[in-house]
Amino acid sequence: MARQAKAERQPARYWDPYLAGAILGLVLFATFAVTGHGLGASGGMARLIAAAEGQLAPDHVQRNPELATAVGGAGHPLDHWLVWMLVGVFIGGLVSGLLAGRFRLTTFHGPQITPRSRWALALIGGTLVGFGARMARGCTSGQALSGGAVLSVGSFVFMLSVFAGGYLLAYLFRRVWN
Amino acid sequence: MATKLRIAGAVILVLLAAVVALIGQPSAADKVAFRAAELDKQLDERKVQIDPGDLLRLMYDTKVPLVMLDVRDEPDYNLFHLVDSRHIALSGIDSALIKAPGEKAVFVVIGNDEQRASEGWKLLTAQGATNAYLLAGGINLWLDVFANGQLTKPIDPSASGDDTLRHRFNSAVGQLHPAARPPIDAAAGREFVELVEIKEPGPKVKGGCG
Amino acid sequence: MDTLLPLNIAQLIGPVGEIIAIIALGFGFGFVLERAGFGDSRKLAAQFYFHDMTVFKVMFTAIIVAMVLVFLLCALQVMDYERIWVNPTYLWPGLVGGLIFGAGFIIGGYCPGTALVSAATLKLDGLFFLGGVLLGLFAFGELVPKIWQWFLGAGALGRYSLAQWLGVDPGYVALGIVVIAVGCFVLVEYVERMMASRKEVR
Repeated sequence: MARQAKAERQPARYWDPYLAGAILGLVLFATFAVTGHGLGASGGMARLIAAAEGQLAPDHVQRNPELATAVGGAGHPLDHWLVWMLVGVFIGGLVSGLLAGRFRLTTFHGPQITPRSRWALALIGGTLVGFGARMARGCTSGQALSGGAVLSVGSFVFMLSVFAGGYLLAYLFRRVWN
Repeated sequence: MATKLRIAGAVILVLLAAVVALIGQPSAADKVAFRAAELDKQLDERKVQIDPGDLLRLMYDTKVPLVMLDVRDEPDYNLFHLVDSRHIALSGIDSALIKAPGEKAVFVVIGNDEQRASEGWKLLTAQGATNAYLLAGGINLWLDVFANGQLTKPIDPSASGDDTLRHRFNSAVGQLHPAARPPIDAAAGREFVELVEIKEPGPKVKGGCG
Repeated sequence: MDTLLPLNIAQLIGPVGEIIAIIALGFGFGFVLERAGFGDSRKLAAQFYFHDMTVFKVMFTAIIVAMVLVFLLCALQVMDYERIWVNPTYLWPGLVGGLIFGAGFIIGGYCPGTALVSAATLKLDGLFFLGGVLLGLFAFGELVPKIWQWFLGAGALGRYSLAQWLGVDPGYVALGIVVIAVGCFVLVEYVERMMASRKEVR
């Protein structure tokens, strides 16, 4: 058990946060320079959902304005930069994890909870995040990071709001993480 | 070591940001200067000066989102202007104005002659308007054609004009004058080239997580 | 002639080239996220308990680096800000969505991008979180457009930048944000050390 914990935590292998931030900033800048827009994550996932619904219930999608905009238009709903970016992020994370020796089946959880309750909480938290991201038209990457770098007022509002939501509930969920 | 690098990075970023602030973002005039050669070429080749007849056609074309910008001095505008044209000073031409009516809007800049209208056209185009034109011969030619019975009077590029209103009005009639919106067939006997073609804006970049 | 940047990528290297470029950029994004430690929910959540402020440091360093570069190139007329996508502002959906997002962040331990990286490295909590995100997106698509359509457009200001709001040149806004961010980094380093020493005492 102790050995497992030791093998899991390899803080020495993580990059210095400022260095990682600077490189992420360069990636973000390169994305603006090459494509004219920033990064994105949740938008691609929304397209996955819309495409799946389009396959299963096409009529239903056409009647729903939110879904129809994603599925409608020329071309396949999955042929969109947001979806391709997801593919890149997935491969990038995978390669980095493989190279760093962090590619292993495990569940990260606080010391006071079981993996199973962690899974439940991750599912609930993920649902809220997905819901909130769609409402705010973006997530930490598409709104906060990308919009923040080009000074969008809404992105800064979103950013402050995310941190506020997290810090407000942190005390309530302290046993989950500490 | 790490701390020193961090401090160095922070100092560099602050200095770079200060440089950015000192240079300042390009003004409308900077943008015109940046593209001066290309803009002057289009003007010299008379690719964007549309005939009064062409403008009349646009005024009645409901499919074209037409935005007429009258850049003359306000007294002239009050004396006479085209129906639905909007008075604006050259300094008022900014990116917000360009983006407001949507990407497919056709802008036509109107002056007394062509000089000031050309400046307005440059400001519009340099700041990103996809479909911008100016009225050839300005209001002076317009009135010759539609009010003074010189229907076939040609555009004369050599007569640059001094940008003064050459017609006399007894009172400020504004857009109540019959020539402010001539009937749809008023230019029937006039020969002109239809210059206006609506260009699609560049590929639409859409970011965010939409 | 337009400014050099942003490149008209699809026209330059074709649609397939564009896809490859975007996958490459996404690769860089995912790689850095993993290297920063963002595939680990505990590291992300520690942000909210002041033990480990990595999230804040990485995010704001990235923002200020990209911001300074973007506005530097725009000032030099190499890049055109008008051709850059600026997320349109919708105040109320952003505010409420952000709060819900923040709540989900502390409960679930990830955000969509980091969860994908976590799942890519076989972390089951990341995978469950990702499932949740898809569920949340699905639920929103089904429920909200019908019931809350009016709310989604509330406080719409369109393309609206901090520079427009403050009425100054973006360069000064960028300078201000860089200075504030650096100040916050100093503060955050201090807080981290304080929290670490408190832990040792206990």
